[in-house]
Amino acid sequence: MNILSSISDKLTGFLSYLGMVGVLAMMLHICADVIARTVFEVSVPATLEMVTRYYMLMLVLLPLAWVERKRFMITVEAFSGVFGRVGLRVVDVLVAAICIGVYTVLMVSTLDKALEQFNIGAYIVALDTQIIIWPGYFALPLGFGLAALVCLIRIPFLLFPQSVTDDE
Amino acid sequence: MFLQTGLIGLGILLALLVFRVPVAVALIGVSMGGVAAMMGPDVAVSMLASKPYDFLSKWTLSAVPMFLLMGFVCYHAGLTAGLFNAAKVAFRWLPGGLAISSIFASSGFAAVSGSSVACAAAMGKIAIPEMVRSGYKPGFACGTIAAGGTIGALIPPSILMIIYGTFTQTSITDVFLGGVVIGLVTAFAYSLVVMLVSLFRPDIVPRHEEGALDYTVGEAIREIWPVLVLGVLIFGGMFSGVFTATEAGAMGAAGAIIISVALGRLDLATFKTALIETLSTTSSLLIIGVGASMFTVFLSLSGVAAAVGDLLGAGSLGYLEMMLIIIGVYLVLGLFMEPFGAMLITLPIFLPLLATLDVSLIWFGVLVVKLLEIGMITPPVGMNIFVIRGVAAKYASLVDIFKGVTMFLIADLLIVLLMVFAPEFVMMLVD
Repeated sequence: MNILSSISDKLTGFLSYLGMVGVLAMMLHICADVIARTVFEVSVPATLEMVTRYYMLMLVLLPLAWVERKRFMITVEAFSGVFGRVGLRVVDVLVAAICIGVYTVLMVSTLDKALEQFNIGAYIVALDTQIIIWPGYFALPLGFGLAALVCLIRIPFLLFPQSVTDDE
Repeated sequence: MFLQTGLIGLGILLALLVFRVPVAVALIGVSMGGVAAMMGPDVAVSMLASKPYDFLSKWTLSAVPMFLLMGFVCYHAGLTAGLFNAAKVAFRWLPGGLAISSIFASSGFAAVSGSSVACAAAMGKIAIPEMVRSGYKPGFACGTIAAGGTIGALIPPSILMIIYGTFTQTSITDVFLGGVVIGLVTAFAYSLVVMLVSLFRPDIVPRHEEGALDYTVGEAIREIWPVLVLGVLIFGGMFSGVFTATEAGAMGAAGAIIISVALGRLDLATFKTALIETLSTTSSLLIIGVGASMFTVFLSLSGVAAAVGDLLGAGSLGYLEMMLIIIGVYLVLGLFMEPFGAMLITLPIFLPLLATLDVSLIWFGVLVVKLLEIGMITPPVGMNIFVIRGVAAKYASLVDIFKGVTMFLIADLLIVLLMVFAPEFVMMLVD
């Protein structure tokens, strides 16, 4: 379990680094477009398409598993006090199970969609330039799948906190 | 015939939220399960599988990470640290001058950050110790900063407003303009509260600050010029129509990075922290938006939104009655929920109701943000209060801080009444 946990940590960390690259690339691309448009009256090709079809997907979905691992997902904490310590651990296990279910359904359904787009070689045309967009679709199953894996790995840590060494 | 499924879905959603299931997962799970129960699993998958991609690939939404990056870089590089000192130069002579300075410093911070919590945390660390040293009652000093933090989400760039604008397909720039008006009105109303308390209870807020100001106008401008430059760049560009909100955010973020590097305030570790916070905030917020876009499909298929309309007598209820209900719902939700979840869960229900009232969605966006921000300072889950408690634990207890915001809450409710009775006031800057 610890090996699996370590692999998932490295993978989530790597994907969140990719997300950081996505943020910076998006900022630079948009700035270049604004400056080119204002100064030279020309647009940097495919700015809107790159932002919406690649960068946004990268920076929201690739760090999702990392956000889940760090427990940064937004929850309603107002009622946490009523469960007690043991109750809270039971609730956390149930929550992890629900998250696994939801993320898995999302992973499978978005993977179908991504494969469909891959098979047809999905692209769009912007300013007479053909832009391939199918790779962006794979950010969804990747993000959701890894988030499911993180929740799965969390369960033994919640059930047997003493016997499983948490590296955090 | 699907109404029962819809109502059961709403009940399950509330139960999941109480049991600490992440808001996004609860929304997605209920929507998937609900549509599968009504139409079958295959239809549910085919209807909902494209929603995450469709929602996230919206251009307007890309303003969120850009403005977040700008705010986090400014905060971590210390570009906003001089705002309180600069505000003191302008407002220290007033009764309760330090508190008023902190409120206007919060407004300045708000101009480069869209987060109410970040605003409260940043000002809390700087202003509370000085206010307490100057004789302010600690609970009131903390309450002032917690309330002042709410201005962070009203004055643009506001992340709540960007997500609202994207979800309702309303002009984000116009919602921002409404936010400028209500943000400034809030700052002036809070300042009035401070002055009144200073007048009637000088034991809580001293009428005059002790000692002379050891700070000149020149020094103030030297400290805050990066914020002024960034403010002119993003607001000037956005409101003159040169930039879209996303472009203003990207230019602002790049500007903040360049200025911070030039001033030697941005090392690699600080930059990485700003990037990580940008990513984690963007991802955790926008995934709720994905859930809300699926939830909208579920609600409309089940007929719950229409049923709520019938229940509230949509068409027969007047503007004031409907507003009273909506305000009541947001104030109650604000007691327990963080603003993004509360907004995205309720919008699919309220938007169809608003259609019968013929109200401006720009005005409603500003009202919703104001109401949600009130929830940031109300017990039991006032996020700003917890943040202030975190940075000023030695000065005041949670109860003291909640007492300290009471007068500001009354001011907030009066502002809400102003917005309801004079919607044109909110829209004065909008074409």
